[in-house]
Amino acid sequence: MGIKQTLDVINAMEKEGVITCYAIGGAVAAYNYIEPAVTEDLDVFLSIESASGLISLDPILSYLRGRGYKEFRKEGLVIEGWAVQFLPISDTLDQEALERARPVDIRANGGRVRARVMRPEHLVALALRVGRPKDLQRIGQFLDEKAVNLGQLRSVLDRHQLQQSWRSFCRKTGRSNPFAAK
Amino acid sequence: MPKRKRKPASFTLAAALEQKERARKIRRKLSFGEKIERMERLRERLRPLKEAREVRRGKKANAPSRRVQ
Repeated sequence: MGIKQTLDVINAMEKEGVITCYAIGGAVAAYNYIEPAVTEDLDVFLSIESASGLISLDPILSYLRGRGYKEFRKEGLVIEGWAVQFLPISDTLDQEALERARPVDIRANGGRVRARVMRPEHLVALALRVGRPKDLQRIGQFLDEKAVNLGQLRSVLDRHQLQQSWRSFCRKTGRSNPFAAK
Repeated sequence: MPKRKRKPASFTLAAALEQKERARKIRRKLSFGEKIERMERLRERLRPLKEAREVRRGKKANAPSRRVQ
């Protein structure tokens, strides 16, 4: 039981066409770039095609229920020890983050598994949009550990109208804004 | 044999911060998989504490109010 087994289940869902495309986001994706922080859940962003226009997680949940995964922990469905939150993409930022995620080989729990992981610039932009204290702290870590490309981050913030949130983040955390006009 | 008195360990703040930074550097160098595995182990270690906290919170929420009407 561990991340490898969790991702094996999600990869099988992708292979069997239950989901079309997914990417890991949130705190676990951030582990790929910065020092880890404790987290309980695995955020899985995915696109769901729906003919009616209504997005439903029912096909995913019934697939997993059929394989014995029924326990919920907070908002996540427990799959092999990880509480997985399935987050359908809801706007252009989510969509871009999903499309540009990179495949990464993860060696863990005595095996290897491949998963798509969001890029640091998108993780920062998504954390900025959510804006909880722990998200702002994570953004600070990306900056302190120089784990994010500032030029690319700026383009993401511009494209998704997040400059004001960025200025507010800099003000709240007492950081000088690297994008401020000199 | 007389019991030897153990000298209490004492650290300066600078030494503690230095140690913390050293550990941070080590953690940063871990691979993605190693970081996740460490987090899984940490979560397992914390599980009894979290469960105890949940029980405590549950008891507190169910306790009758002490306020005099």
